[in-house]
Amino acid sequence: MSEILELRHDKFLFKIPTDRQYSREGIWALPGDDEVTLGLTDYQQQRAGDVAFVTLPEAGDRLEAGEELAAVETIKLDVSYGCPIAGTVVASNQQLELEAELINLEPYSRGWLAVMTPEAWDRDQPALLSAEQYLALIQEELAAEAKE
Amino acid sequence: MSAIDGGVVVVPCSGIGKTYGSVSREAAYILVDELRPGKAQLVALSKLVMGAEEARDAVAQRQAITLDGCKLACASKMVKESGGAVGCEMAVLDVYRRNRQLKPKGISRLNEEGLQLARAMAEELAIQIDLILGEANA
Repeated sequence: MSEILELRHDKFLFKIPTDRQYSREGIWALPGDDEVTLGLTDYQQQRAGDVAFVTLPEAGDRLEAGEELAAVETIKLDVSYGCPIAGTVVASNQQLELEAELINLEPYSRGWLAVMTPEAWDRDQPALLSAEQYLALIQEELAAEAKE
Repeated sequence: MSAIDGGVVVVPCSGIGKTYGSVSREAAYILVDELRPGKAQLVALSKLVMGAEEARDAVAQRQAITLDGCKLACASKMVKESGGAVGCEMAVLDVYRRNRQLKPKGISRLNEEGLQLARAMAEELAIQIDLILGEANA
């Protein structure tokens, strides 16, 4: 079973599983045999707020790294999240059309965004952060905000 | 017994400074003043939080309609903590999901879509009030 790192900040508790990697933007990537599942991190979903709608690519779409993976509209803001890897979308989470709140409730499981077949995992993977590195990044962001 | 004595209480979110809180309060005003006057009494959430006797009595004696601005659901929780019964709880976000074209913006002054969203919410709740009062009078 994977470990889950936790970061407490004010009234918030951010969880970061160690079984996956993270983009700096807040997308997690969990590699399987031939595919990679992608989703929004707990930190990002809490920062963004309650999700009203999410727009995802369709199965068969080919995405470059950095191209929009998900457009998320929350009660606070509209955010576009870039795809951390290049590849072809195998599936996107259709359940989010009916229950967008799954992103808030279960960001690391039922709130997944898309499954992709990576095109160049060996090229894209090194740019992703480990759970420990992502936790450190969050700490830096929070510290910078506190100074402002 | 006055009409209000046999009616419901309406408790909106008190999220001052938040768009969805503003929508909930605007919906409550439309509901109480326009759609179901005499059948719905507005109770300020802040009074429940402060433990005001008049407000606590109101929610203890009648079914409550709660309008929540976010998933914290403060209005619903506070009514229950005050010993009241929530006959219908509705969240602005859920109404928005059913009316995607009505994206609310603004805080002290809602945009036109926000006002329309508030009206849509009030109209849904007016039906719920009729159901609650219909059952109570059956």
